[in-house]
Amino acid sequence: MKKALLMVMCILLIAVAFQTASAAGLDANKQKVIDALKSSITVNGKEVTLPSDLLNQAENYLKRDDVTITSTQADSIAEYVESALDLVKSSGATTVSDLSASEKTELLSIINNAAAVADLTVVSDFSKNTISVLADGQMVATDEPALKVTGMAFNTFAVLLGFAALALTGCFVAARKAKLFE
Amino acid sequence: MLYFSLAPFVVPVISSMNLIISESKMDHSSRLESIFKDGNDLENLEVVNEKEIVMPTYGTHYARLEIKSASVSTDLYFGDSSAVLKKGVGQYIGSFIPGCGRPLLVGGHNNSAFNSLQFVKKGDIVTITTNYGIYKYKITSTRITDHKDKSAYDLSLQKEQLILYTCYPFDTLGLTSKRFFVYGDKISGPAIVSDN
Repeated sequence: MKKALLMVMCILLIAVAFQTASAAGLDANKQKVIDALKSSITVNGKEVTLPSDLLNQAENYLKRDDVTITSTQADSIAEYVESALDLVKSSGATTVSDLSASEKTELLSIINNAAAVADLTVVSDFSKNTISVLADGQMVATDEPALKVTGMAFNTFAVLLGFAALALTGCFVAARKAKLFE
Repeated sequence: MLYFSLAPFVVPVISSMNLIISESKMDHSSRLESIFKDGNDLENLEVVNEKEIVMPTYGTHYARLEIKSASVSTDLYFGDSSAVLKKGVGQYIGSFIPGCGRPLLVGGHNNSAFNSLQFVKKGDIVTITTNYGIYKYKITSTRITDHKDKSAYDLSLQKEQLILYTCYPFDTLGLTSKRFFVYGDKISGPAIVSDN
């Protein structure tokens, strides 16, 4: 009985340990998605492609073992990518900022639909003007700048200085009231 | 010098301030996951199959980064959120983990994990220890440039280039628009291979 219990516990432990995402690489379906994302179009003589940092994020996500893409999903995503490219091509825009408001909305809708195929959610942060893709609430891709703020935040520093100035003023007023300067 | 002499008093106050005022929604994901296990016997591996690798998810501590000559020794996370940068250094998720033969972009704070980056010299060795291999990179150059200068890194490169960065100047209080970059080329560590 004890042995059986031990066996069950071992199996459970192994199952939990292997739940973390091991790298499965890119199978044919995942590769099809990557190939679709890598496609380029020529607009007004200029080649338009997905920026390499976004492509890399897609590749890193798809390499995860807990991510599976079926053939139907891959085909569907590839179709959405193609319609996004068609939209950009017909608009004549070479960057996202060149698109009109309605074209941007349409593009975002296509991105949302493509993400939904792979059970991903697209969220916009209007305060930062960024779009992120989440899987189970966890970030898997974002168009945030690659370089982050790696110094002390200025507003924190400014507030700190403000508090220091306030404390000094308080001390000065208290000292004057106590007639320490006389 | 001013920062370090004031740090014991300033840092607790700043942390408290961060609780009161914040420029963005409060991030409660400060309990970051770790998949890193130190002490593995990984010397002299030449290749590793990708099936043996646990791919880190966003905000996961997966490696250790050291530059002995400059006394840099810190945890390396996949993802570079503010929560990550408080704990160690963070890899941009649009760059690749060691062994992929592609660029690796890592940022860290200039007043903590990457403060000693200012002491690195050309030829110094950066060691990244992961669960699947030990990677060494030889520093080839350093550069100071604006934070909007995209020529400072090329993530489409088909070469394993290590790019470390932090805010510059190093001992400045407040935000700076400059970044200090350190570039290194891989000199050893197992290449990740695929069955496909």
